[in-house]
This record gives sequence, structure tokens and C-alpha cells, in this order.
Amino acid sequence: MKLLDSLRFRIATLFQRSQMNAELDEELRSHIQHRADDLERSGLARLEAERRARIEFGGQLRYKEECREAAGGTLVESLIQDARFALRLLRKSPGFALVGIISMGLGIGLTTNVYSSKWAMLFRELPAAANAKHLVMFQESADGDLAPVSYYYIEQYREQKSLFAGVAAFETGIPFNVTFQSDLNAKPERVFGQLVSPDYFSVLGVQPQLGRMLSPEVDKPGDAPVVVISDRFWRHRLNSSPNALGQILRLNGQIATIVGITPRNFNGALGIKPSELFVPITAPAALAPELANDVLHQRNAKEFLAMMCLAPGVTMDSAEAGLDAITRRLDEQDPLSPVRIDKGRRVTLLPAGTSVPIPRKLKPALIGFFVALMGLIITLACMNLANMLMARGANRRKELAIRLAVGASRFRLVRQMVSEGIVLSLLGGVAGFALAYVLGVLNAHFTAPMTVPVEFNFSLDWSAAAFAFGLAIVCGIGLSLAPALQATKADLTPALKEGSALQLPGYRRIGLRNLLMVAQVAASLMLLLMTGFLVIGISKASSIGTKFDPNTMYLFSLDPVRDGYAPEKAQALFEKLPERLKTAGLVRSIALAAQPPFTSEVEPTQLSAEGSPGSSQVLRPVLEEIVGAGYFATLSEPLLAGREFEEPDQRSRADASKALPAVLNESAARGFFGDGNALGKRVRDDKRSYEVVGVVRDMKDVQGFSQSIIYLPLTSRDFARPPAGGMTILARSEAGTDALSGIRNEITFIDPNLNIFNMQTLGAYLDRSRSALRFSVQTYGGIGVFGLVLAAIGLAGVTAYAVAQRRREIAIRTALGASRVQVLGLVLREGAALVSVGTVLGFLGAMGLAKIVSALANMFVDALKIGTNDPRLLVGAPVLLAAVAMLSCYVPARRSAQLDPLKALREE
Amino acid sequence: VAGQAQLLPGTLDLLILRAVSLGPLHGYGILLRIGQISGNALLIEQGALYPGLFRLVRQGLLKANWGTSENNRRAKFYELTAAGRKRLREETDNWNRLVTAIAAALAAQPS
Repeated sequence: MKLLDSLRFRIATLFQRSQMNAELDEELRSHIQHRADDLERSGLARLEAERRARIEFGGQLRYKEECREAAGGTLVESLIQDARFALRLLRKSPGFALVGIISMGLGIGLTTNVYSSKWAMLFRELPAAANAKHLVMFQESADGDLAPVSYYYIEQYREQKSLFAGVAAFETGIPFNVTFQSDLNAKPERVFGQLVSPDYFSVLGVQPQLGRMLSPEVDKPGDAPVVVISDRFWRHRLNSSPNALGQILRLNGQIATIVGITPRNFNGALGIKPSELFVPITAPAALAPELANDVLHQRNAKEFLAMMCLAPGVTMDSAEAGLDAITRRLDEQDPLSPVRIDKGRRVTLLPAGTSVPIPRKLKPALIGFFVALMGLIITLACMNLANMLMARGANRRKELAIRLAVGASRFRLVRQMVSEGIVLSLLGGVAGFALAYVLGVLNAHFTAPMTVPVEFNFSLDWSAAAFAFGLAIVCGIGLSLAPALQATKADLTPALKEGSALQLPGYRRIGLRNLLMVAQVAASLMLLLMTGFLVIGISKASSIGTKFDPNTMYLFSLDPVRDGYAPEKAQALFEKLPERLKTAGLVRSIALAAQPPFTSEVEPTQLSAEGSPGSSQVLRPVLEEIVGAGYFATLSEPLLAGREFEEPDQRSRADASKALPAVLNESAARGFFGDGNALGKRVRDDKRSYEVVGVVRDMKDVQGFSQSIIYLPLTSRDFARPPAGGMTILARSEAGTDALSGIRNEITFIDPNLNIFNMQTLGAYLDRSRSALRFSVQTYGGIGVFGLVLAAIGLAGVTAYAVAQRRREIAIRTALGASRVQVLGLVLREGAALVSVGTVLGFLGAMGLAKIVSALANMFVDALKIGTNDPRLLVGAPVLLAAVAMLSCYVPARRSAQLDPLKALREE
Repeated sequence: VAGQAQLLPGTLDLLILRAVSLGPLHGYGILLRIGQISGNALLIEQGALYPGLFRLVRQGLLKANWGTSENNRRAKFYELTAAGRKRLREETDNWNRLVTAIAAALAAQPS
């Protein structure tokens, strides 16, 4: 109660503040009048009596302040007062304020951007999933690739009631061609969704927003097809229609009834690839080609991801041990399963309750990486501001000493300076939040095209705001506390006597300030070099050398199976389509592929060379691209050896006994067979073997990386079960002719119901793919330049401060006959020493960091290798930094040389 | 001002309570009263009185009301609350004990 009372009192006093001040004034005036009355009675004139009374009373301002403090309510009030005072100070030196706000804004903005786009995305739990904390999935390897299993296995796992509260099967990234019943003539829209087992929602713990979710009791095989739609689908495609339930959708040409709507923000498990439709796996195969061939009962069809909810009290370790035993038994019963001799666990689990499942082993490293990254950015910004504040604090020493002498408490002054720091960094926080917002928008804008849309949640939410402003306050306190303590530590007498030149005796010692300076030079050089490595490296690496004008090639996609074609009919279409387009004179050459050319989206598979002695037996990761006949001719890539795929290869039936032909790129060929001839040799994966029929030049992907690639021919299986992006058709036409409308007309003529999508020139596709890369290059460049500017400003400030401190010394030297050059040299020597130490440290640091980064993130290896070997950068960056740094020392130093010794000495 | 003693820290509050215990007084009146009852032996800076008054009001030991002084001026009058009266008794006892103890200690002769 007492606490509450005192709180209420404090709040009340805050609001009665002005009244209280008036009363206080009146009371003190009354006191003085009474005293004056007495003095008057003793014979003084009234005016003289009042004057004497005022003098006797003592410092009114100070007592008023003490009264206010004694009356309580001071905390909030004096905070406001401090903030106001700080704002006034900042307005008086707008240059300082601007630099401070920009540097804090940049630091906080970038950190918040990292936080909101990476941290929050990686560690945010699946929205609306009550069981998120207990969800686990299989991983294939330690780096978190998810391992698909056959539905049979999932059924067996589901029996382990002691381990799991539930096990659901699902497939994600499944495209559906959707038409709305109301609009029969409309072209279908391509919408991505999931195939899920009916217990999926209960395993996740997701309750419907409207209608019902799927359930094993209600949804049985053979029922009329139903579909659950996501909240987003309902809002965006059905305009939040209240009649959505019971409405009929056409999915891939088949009808399905909407029975439920998921809760808001729920985009399915693995929410990074948002799903809008949830179709039960009990649906007929016509609804989704993924369900064809009785896939639920094929023991070797490893098509499904298992989502498991741990039973209460079961740890991930015990579940893993239990699952491992079961899986071994199942593998042994299965004659088709490859014999594996593995000592380790066959099954490892990872937590799956986030939009991106993160392996347990990786989590500390990820957290460490992001904390380090955010820490580095914010430290750099803070260091700069701390430097400036320290120089400023030192300049204000005389003012502070006077205030201390007349009775201000040190705590009060420190609090005052700290609130100045907080105000500054809160303003920086506002700027930073704005920056983070802009970065988020730009990031979303420059997202590379993906076959299955990937959604990074760049939007800033309240947690990002709390993060940004919390960070601002912590930084504000952190960076202003040390300078404030140092500035108020003063021995009063020398500070008053010597003014700001107080530090003279200890000047050459390695002070906090010099350390900060060296650190800042080193950090900015590291930043400049690292960003320089990436900029030069990425822009060099990302020029894809097509041997023709990419604007004369057209890309478009067809997915006839999802337009309702039977697999055989789809294959027939693809076999006759190239001829028709060629005969119509629309295209010069044409080829099919299961993925866009130069894609960077293919996941590597493990292959090994077969048989022949002397060649490598090691499993090596190779990207698998599936391409049709004439693919390389269409890309104007003559084969280095052998032949490319022809029509007959495309017709060959996928059958495990016969080796499929394959084309390797140079890297892959060298990897498997050294420098020897690769033609006629074989490689194999865990299903079949491939015979090398050709070798082709390494081509860089859109990200600028060249990797080992194996090209496999399209087979009937690919036509029957098209990839998520449909079949990509590459067509070359003569320069200058616009073939797109002709192609569209011709295809509409063949079948008006065929849906043509992703139609664009290769040039446009490459442009869009690289815009994200270009954006990040520009961002890196910007950060590097900004680091340079920060360092320059910081150095200039510190040198100016050092010069101001040494005015007297310089004046005496000049009076004794030192020349201007000598004086200049004196000042610049200090700066030069700091700059050169910082430069050397920064250079070494950058080289070390480049090594570490290329070891950790192999996507940067190429870029960094090119960058670290670029003499322009290696010599240029340190020279540029040193030049800028010395220039920013020179400007204030020159002022010192122009000092009039008489004037300077008199001032002191 | 010779012969005046500096106040010991913390004793101003006690003096104020004592001065006010004899009847409501305004700030200047309190000073006069302290001077009177202490035989002008204590040096108190005039302004220093007020933070003390505000502190005592906040602790609920004094209450204040505006009124008119003997000089016919508006002034704020302070008087003891029940808590203030109790505190004065306790503090007086404490003080007496302290003074007796210290006096005894100082008066002790080596035996």
C-alpha cells in the first residue's frame, strides 16, 4: 500500500508541478519579505532591507531545486527535464547531432534489419500451431536437409504411441491450377499448397478459423474431394467472402469443396514457403499428379515429409533412439532398400516448430553468428559516437567543473550527460527504424524469382520495434556512461585553472580515446575491405557468359498434367510442340527442361563414380538438372566431347536395370574421373547408374557460382509428374522478332485450356534473378563507404579535440620560434601513428576474416577468392582509408598552426 | 557570528519538529523560533530550511496550510501531524540517550 501511495503521490506531484512551483516561489518570497520587515524595523530602508534579505537567504535556485527533489516526483520530471536540456544542447550543435543520429541510425537500422529478417524469421514459432514446441522432423544430414520417407514408414511410426502424440505426412510446394467455379472462362491461377494426411492439423495443433480442419475420422479415401484453404487464400482470392465454406474450387481441373479456413498467418508447416491450399492425401490422384501411381502404398516412394509431435515427457533424444531402432528394422525388411553400413544413427531429428527447421547442432552457431554480426555493426556505430561524446565531454570540462563546484552532484551531471546520449541514440533509433523499414521493402522488392515462392518475412513487427528502441537505449547508456564518468571525474582545481587543457601530463599515454581511435580505423578498414572483396568478387563472378544475346531467347512454362492432361497425352504434347513451333517459323531452335536454365535452386545429390580402378569412389555432391533433346544446341553450347541428348533418350522408359545416358560438366567430369576421358564411364546414385555420353563447358548459375552438374534426360516419369515449376521451354528466335505472342497463339490454337506461365525473355529472367544480388552488392558498397565516412568524421573530431587541448603548448612553441610546418608536424604525428597502427591491424583483420568467412560460408568462396587477389583493392583500400584519415587530421591541425600565440596564451 | 555552532547532519529536522511542536509557524517563524529556543547558538542558512520542510511534509510528519502572518502577509504555516508528534518524541529520546552516552564517554577519567 505504501508503495502505491508514494507512486500516486509522485504522479500527483507531476501534474501539480506548475502549481507547486508557483507556491514555492510565493513561499520563498514571503520568507524574504518577512525578513525584510524585520530588517526594516531595525532601521534599514525598504529597498536595502529587501536586498539584504535576499543575500542572507542564499542561492534561491539551488534551494528550489532541492525542495523539488525533497518533495518527490523528481524522477519522471527530471528525466523530462534532462531530455529537454539534451535536445537543447543538440540543437546548438547540429553538426554533431546530425553525425551522431546518422551513425546511430545506420547501426540500429542495419542491426534491426538483421534481427527482423534473419533472427526473427529463424526463431519464430509457427503461428497458430499449439504444438509448435513439440514438433520434430527427420533430417537427412547434419546441415538440416529434410529427409523424405515413404508413407509406409510414416504409418509404422504412427504406431509408436509411447513416443509420439501424432505423426502426420505432408508434401509441400505443390502447385495447383485453380479455377473458381463462378468464373468458368477465366484462366486458372497457379497456387501453391500442400498435400497433407488428414491428421496434419491435429498434429500441429491448428484450430480452424471457420469450418473444420481435416481429420482421420471424417476424411476417408474415396470421399468426394475436399480442401482446406489458408486465411490468405480466403482474403486475397475470395475477398474474405462469408460464403466461402461449401464453395467449390477446380484444382487441376477436378472439383473440390472448401470445408475450412486456417487461422490467420498460418501458412502451413515450413512456413517460409507459404501454402494456400491443403489437400488431403486421401484425395483421388487426378487432383494432384504427386498422388499418382498409388504412391501411398509404394514402399520405395520416398515422397513424404513426416511431421511428428512428441508425446508428453518424451525428449528428442529418446525419440531419436526409438525411431532409429524401428527404422533399422524396417530397412532390413525392405529388399529394395540399399544396404547401408552405418555406425551412427540412421535417423536424426530436428525441431520443426519454426518456419525454417534448424538442426539442434547448428542452432548455437547460428545464434552466435547473428549475435556477432549484430554486435559488430552496433559496436562500430557506438564506438564512433562514444569517441565524439568523449571529445565533447572533455571540451565541456570547464563547464562541468564549475557546476560541480557550485554544488551540483556528480550523479546529477552524469545522469544529465547519459540522458544526452540516450536522446541522441533514441533519435538514431527512429532513423534506424525508418532505415530498417526501407531495407525491408527493398529486400522484398529485390527477391530473386523462385519456382516455389519463398517468403521471407521482412515486415517489421512490434518485436523489431522493441528491439530497435531497446537497443537504442542500451547503446545510449553504454556509449555515454564512460565519457560522462571520465569528464566528471575532475579534480576541480586544475580543471578550473587550466580549462580544457587538463589532460596534458598524461596525454601521450595509451588512453581510452587512442584505443578507440585505433579500433575505429581498424574496424572501418576491415569493413571497407570485406565489403570491397564482396563487391568486386560478386560483380566479377556474376557475369554469366551466354554466347548469344539473352534477349533472343524466350522462356515459358507449361504444366499440362495440372491442366487435366493424362501423362501420356502430356508427353505427346511435348513431343510434337517443338516441331510445330519450328514449322510455324516462330523459333529457330527449341528445347525442354525441368528447371529454368542457369538456375541456382537445384539441391545437390550424392553420386559416386562406378567401378573403374584409379577413379574416385567417393560420394560427391552434384547438382542434377533434367534437360531435353537439343538443350545445349539451343544454348549455343557445343559439347566438349561426346554427344548431347536426342529424341530417343527422351522416350526411354525409366527402368532401373538400364543405365540412363548423362552429360557431365567439366567440373563434375574432373571430379569423378580426373583428367582422363569420361565418355563411356559410369556414375551412380542410390537408385541407378548413368553412362556418360557427353561433357559440356562449366556454366555459371545466376548467382555467379559454377558447380559440378550432371545433366539427365527427360523421361516419361518427368512428363507424368512434372516439377513444381512445370516444364520450362527454351526457345530461340531471330534477334528483333517478338516471338512471344506468336508462341502464345500457336499454343492456344493447339489447346485453349493450356495454361502458359512464367513467360519472359532469358534476359529479363537473368535480370530479375540478379537484382537481389546487385542490391546486396550495392548495400555492401554503401556500408563500406559509410564506414569510411564515419572513420573520417571520428578522426577529425578527435584531432580537433587534441589540438584544442594543446593550444597553450602550441602557442608557447610558436612564441619560442617554432615554424608552422613544425607545429603541423607535431599534431599530425599523433594522428599518423594512430592511423598506421589502425591500418595495419585492419588489414590483417580483414584478411583473417575473409579466411574465416570463406571457410564458414561456401557461397562466398568464389567472390572472396577473386576479391582477395585484386591488387586494386588490397593496395587501394588501405591507401584510400589512410589518405582520408590523414586529411581529416590535417584540417583541424592546420587551424592549430594558424593559431595566434598571444591570443591563445591570453585566453587561458 | 562567533559562538555559533554548525548543525550536525540530520539535526535540522529534529529542530524543525521541535519548533513547530509549540504551535503552527511559517518558515521564517520557524527560523526565529529555533534561534529563540536555542539562544541563537546555532547557525542555519535560511534557504536550507525549506528542503527540510518539504522532506518532512512528504514523510507526513508536518502538514502545511496557507494563512496570514502577524505582518499581515500571506505565508505557509506548518504544524505537526500525529505522526510528527510521535516522531519528535522518539527522536528526542534518541538524542538524549546519545548525548548522555557521548558526554559520559568524554567525561570519563582514566582510572
